[in-house]
Amino acid sequence: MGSGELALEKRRQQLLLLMNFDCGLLILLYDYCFDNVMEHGSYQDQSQATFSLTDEDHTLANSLRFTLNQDPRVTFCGYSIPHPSDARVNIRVQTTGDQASEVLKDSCQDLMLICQHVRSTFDQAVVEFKNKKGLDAMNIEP
Amino acid sequence: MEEKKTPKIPVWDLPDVPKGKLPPHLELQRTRVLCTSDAPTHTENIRYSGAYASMGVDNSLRLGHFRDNFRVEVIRLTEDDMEFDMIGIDAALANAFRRILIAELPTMAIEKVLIANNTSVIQDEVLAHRLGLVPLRVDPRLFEYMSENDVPNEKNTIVFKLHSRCERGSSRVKVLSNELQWLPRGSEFTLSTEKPAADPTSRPRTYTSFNCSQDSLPDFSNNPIGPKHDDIIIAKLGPGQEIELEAHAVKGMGKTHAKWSPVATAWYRMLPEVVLLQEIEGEKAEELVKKCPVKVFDIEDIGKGRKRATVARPRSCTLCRECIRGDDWDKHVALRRVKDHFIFTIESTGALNPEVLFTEAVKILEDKCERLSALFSPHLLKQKTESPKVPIFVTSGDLRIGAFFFEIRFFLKRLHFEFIFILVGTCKLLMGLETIMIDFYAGECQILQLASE
Repeated sequence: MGSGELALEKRRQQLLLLMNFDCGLLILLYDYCFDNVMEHGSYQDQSQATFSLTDEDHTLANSLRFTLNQDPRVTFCGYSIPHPSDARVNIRVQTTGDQASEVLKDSCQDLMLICQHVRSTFDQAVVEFKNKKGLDAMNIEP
Repeated sequence: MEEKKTPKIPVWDLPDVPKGKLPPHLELQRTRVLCTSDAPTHTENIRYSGAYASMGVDNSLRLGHFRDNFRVEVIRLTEDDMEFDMIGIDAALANAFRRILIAELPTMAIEKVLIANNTSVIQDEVLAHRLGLVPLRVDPRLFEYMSENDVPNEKNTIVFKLHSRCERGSSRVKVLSNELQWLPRGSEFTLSTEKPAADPTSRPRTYTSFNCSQDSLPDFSNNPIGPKHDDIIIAKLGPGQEIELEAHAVKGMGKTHAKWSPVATAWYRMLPEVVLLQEIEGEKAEELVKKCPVKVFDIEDIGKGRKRATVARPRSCTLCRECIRGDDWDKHVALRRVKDHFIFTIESTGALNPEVLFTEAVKILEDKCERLSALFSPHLLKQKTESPKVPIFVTSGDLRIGAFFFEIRFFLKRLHFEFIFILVGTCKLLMGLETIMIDFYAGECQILQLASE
């Protein structure tokens, strides 16, 4: 395959419309590319989409699946790593009607809040431990 | 043959399940891994928000609930390692923190070794590899990553010199990590392309281009950079052998190479729970105490010379299941793991203290979320939903296709698409038409494929 052909193939993968006439339904699919995230979805039904993240792995995807699953608006979510040698992970989100990207964004923010709380709780526990150890080291008789 | 009969209870005599609470057996399955004699069961975490909807129990994410229940208890904290309990968090997050600690927290490690002389028995590449694995005592947050086209400077490179020799006639010597000498002014090796300087006052160009000396920076002036441990054997030299080299350390992450991992290991285990389902007394108690190799059980005197087994040290249980092996011991003792209680251990290699490492790991996960959610900010979403203009050139088709596309056009109009098509040629196959792929290019479109069965 020549480089021009390859570029064309790549573009085709990046942005393609797919029409399904079979069941009398016309489904327009879009791929929305931004930075390291690609969103595969359909124009008619924005409540379901697949988000393809590059340079991410189980670390983020599994944490996001955890928060997404606990969102009552989500009917299904899951993730897969299509090939172990690609640094890419696909996250599938299907909702009860809300825009899938909105729901994903919200669960990102939930996860962020959780992390912030974990960090502050942890820091506080460390400070308490150090204070206690400091007191113990002083060996004060009661 | 007499059948064993269980008493029949009419369904309306069964006790009511309290609203908003799970029945005890489901609660047990939700919160504990049951370690039975053959295999652990109920290992999965139930995360779906509507999992218990039929019982009126909300399983969705409630941040308030999380805040009230999440606890951290530090058990041990030294310069090199720490152990702490993380209670009230899901395995997905605990594992994310562990993965980040191992693979995504940056440190400094020796990446390039310029060998001027090596007459020792250790090959150059093996020596370079050994040097790479030496942990350095330096805060990686003060440095930048060096990308492919970057010039090594004082912000992204640390240079060490190693010059060691074993004199003829003396006995063999060890080359230890404390012989790595920090060069805050950068490399001392001049580039091979450099000609002998005509002007003796100008400094010849070397393998690094430092603008200032690193020890003049406030972070390093009182805290010289060096290996964390002074007694790591790098090589051994026989009489007459010599090693002269320069090692350049750069910032990197554990997923590129394990030498950049800031932890020796970071791991967690779920809290073991040992429950005595029945009172175990007398000889049976003695037997139980003897069964356990890590001495989880103790014997307690309950008066009148009677002895009872108690669970004294459940934390040290390794879940070897020796205590539930044989006979019907599993009816007396239950081994479980608490699903949301993690005993987390971090062993730092020395660049940062373990408590700093964990905080940094949580920050990295936060950053990941922030970056992702920023992509879905409103103005970008709007851009996405704007309709693209789609002129379509049908390379082959007939009137029926034309009629068909006419319908499509109306449909697309409803979706605010601008849709133009031109028919060229004829196409006989239409009925089985399934998909048409259209490629966008510079505002133009072509039907690339008319797939048909």
